Amino acid sequence: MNYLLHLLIYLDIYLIVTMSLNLLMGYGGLLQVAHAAYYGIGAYVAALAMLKFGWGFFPAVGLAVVVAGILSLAVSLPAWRFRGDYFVMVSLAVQSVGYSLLYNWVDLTNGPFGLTGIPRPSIFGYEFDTIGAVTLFASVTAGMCILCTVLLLKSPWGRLLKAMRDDELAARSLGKNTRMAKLQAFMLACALVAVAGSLYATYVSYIDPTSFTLDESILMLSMVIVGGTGNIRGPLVGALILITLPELLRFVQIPDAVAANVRLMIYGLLLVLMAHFRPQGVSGTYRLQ
Amino acid sequence: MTTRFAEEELMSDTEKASQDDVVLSARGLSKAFGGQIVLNDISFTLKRGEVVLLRGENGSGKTTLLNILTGNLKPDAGELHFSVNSAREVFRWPRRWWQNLNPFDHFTPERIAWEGVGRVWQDIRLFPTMTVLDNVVLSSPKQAGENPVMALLRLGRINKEELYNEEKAGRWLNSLGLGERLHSSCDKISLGQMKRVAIARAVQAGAKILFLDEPLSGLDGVGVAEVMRYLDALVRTDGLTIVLVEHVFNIPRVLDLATTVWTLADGGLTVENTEAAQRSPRSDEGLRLHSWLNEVAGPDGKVVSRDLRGGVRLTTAIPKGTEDAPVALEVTDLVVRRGYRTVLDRFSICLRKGQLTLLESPNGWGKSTLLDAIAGVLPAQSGEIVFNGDQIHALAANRRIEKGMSYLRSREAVFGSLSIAEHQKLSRGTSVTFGENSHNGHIKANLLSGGQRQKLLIEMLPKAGMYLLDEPFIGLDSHSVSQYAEYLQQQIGGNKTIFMAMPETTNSPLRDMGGI
Repeated sequence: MNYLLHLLIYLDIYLIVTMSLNLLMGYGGLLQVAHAAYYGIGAYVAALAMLKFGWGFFPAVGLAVVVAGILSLAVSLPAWRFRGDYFVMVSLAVQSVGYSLLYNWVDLTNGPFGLTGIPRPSIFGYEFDTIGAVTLFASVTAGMCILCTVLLLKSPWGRLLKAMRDDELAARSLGKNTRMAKLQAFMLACALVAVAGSLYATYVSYIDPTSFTLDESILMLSMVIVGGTGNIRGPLVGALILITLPELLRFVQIPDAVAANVRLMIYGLLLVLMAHFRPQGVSGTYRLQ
Repeated sequence: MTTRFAEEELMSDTEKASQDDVVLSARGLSKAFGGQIVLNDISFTLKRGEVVLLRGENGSGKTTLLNILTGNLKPDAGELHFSVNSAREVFRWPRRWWQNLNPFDHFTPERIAWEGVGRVWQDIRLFPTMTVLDNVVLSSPKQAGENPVMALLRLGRINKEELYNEEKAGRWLNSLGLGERLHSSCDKISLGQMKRVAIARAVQAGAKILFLDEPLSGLDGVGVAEVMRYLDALVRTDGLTIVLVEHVFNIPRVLDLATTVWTLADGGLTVENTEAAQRSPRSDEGLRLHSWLNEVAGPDGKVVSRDLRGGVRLTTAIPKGTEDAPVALEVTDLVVRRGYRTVLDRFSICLRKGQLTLLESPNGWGKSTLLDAIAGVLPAQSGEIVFNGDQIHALAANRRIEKGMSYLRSREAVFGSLSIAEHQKLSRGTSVTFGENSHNGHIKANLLSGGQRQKLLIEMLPKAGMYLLDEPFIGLDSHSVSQYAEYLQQQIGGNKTIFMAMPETTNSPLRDMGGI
């Protein structure tokens, strides 16, 4: 049972991640590969606020959201000028810088040894210290984040993002401030993924930089690509598939020595097949270019 | 940068009234690309309710001027005064370096749109993943819901605003005859409907000056009439100021509506009223297509027309002695699908050597699909294509070209990053030369105007026994149209076969005028 609850918590965390990434990729047409860096920033800022300043979970998450939102300028400002492959290169650079900071700023992050003893969340004196309570807390948090994202994407702001994705110059010629829309989209997406990062840090109680590498960014992208972009369902389906698939593969009789590689091969094959046969993803409406 | 006119107070009442009518004025506008001067010290004024036809030869700078006036391109020198709204805005060039540091003072498309300037693009640029209604609602100015904080916290206000904008957009679209297509996806409506949506979108965005780049191109007779009727209504009832760039074929139609004609030539701009412009030699521009077909057939030949299903007309110019010429191309029971839609269903046609056949069809009938299928660019589901006695329907496009076909597609299929000279090297020999491209071999194709691109594509066509031409005259100026028509006539004289597709003009007054 605990195993299933553990999976559910991971699913909640990745639901927030994929919804935030879908906001950028599926609606804004901005292929971001630095998402793991912002996930890490959220986790580290919340963890440090709780460990060093003794803050509660909610103020710590608030700080993580603000810091990630401000640091999102590192990708949103270049997005004013760079498009397509060049923008991917910029976000790749931001991912590398983010990871290097977490790894090498030893005084603050404890470098490769990471941070331990991160407390569980508590509200009005009630501590979510059992796995059942954490599951409930994570599910409610994910539900609220999804609700906010859905409201945003269904609003005129979401429509503006779609217009920007379809034809930015046409949108600008209609008087739309697409630069501001990009800035807002990155700020919101990075803030949301910082919430997911904080949730992750408080659940596992220990974080180190290896959880926020480029591989993690690629896993996040895979979830969105497999599930599909441009609607609300796609990322939810993607997160569900890529969280449950490795767990299902555990039940397949693969020798331990090659199990990890076989899983990676299956991921790769899945992505190639998806790109060929269903480029809009399992449940998506927008075909990524 | 933003200046309120101090001299306004010194004007007389008459001057002031006249000045109040001016919505846009330009002084000394200049623009050069890589040393080539496109616009040289241009000045003009545009008054409220004026309808201007902007014309000029290919490469004369029409699109450049449009790009400058809509904030998509900065001139090298000059001034622009916008006074659509109550406050007057002035932009001057060249700019000081420190002016570029002010993030709120940039000359950008969105800033110019806020001044009440709208643009309808030649390639339309609707948002294809949205519905017709959403395309128009989106363009409503100053939407509170476009602020994410408001979108989350003021749901009631946002919903009310949306309802208001939808109602307004619905009214525009209804008046354009699109009331039943409100919820259709914009990539699933016809070209004429797309053009009308684009105009409605610009008007909903608050445009008081509307720049339209070839709004009639590619439209059939019905489409032309619909768009012109709507533009007329916008001018008469809403007092919009309109500047139209239009292809030579459609100029006579636009002159009915225009009050002023701007002509760009050699970097300069001439402003005339419509009567004067009609008296000038340019008003005769355009190819009289059906007279030309008679010329192609020659005095002893004949021109035969027959109507097919779906409003399609096939007209063949048969010069004397070619009545029983060998068959060059025979298409039998051709079925072509695009996705799930069957575009051509058992289509048959027979073309003989030394003859020119013109296919005129309404937009969306599938003329480009037919030519694509004959040339092998698009696979046919069934049917037979026999070219010079050989079955070719199983051959790839390059093999069909090797067998003696030459295909001009209707879209601007140039390679943007390659220069003119590189394009010419890619081609397998030039069939016709317009002249200007030979001097500008170093220029990249993406810097060429629409007409120059069309000329380059025509120049790249290899010499062949059969020419498949999809809207070959589109974008060409009158001189180039005549030059190319003469070349094609020579080809027919040389026993070549030409199959040409054009939009039908049955219901257009242009047909009555003998032009297309």
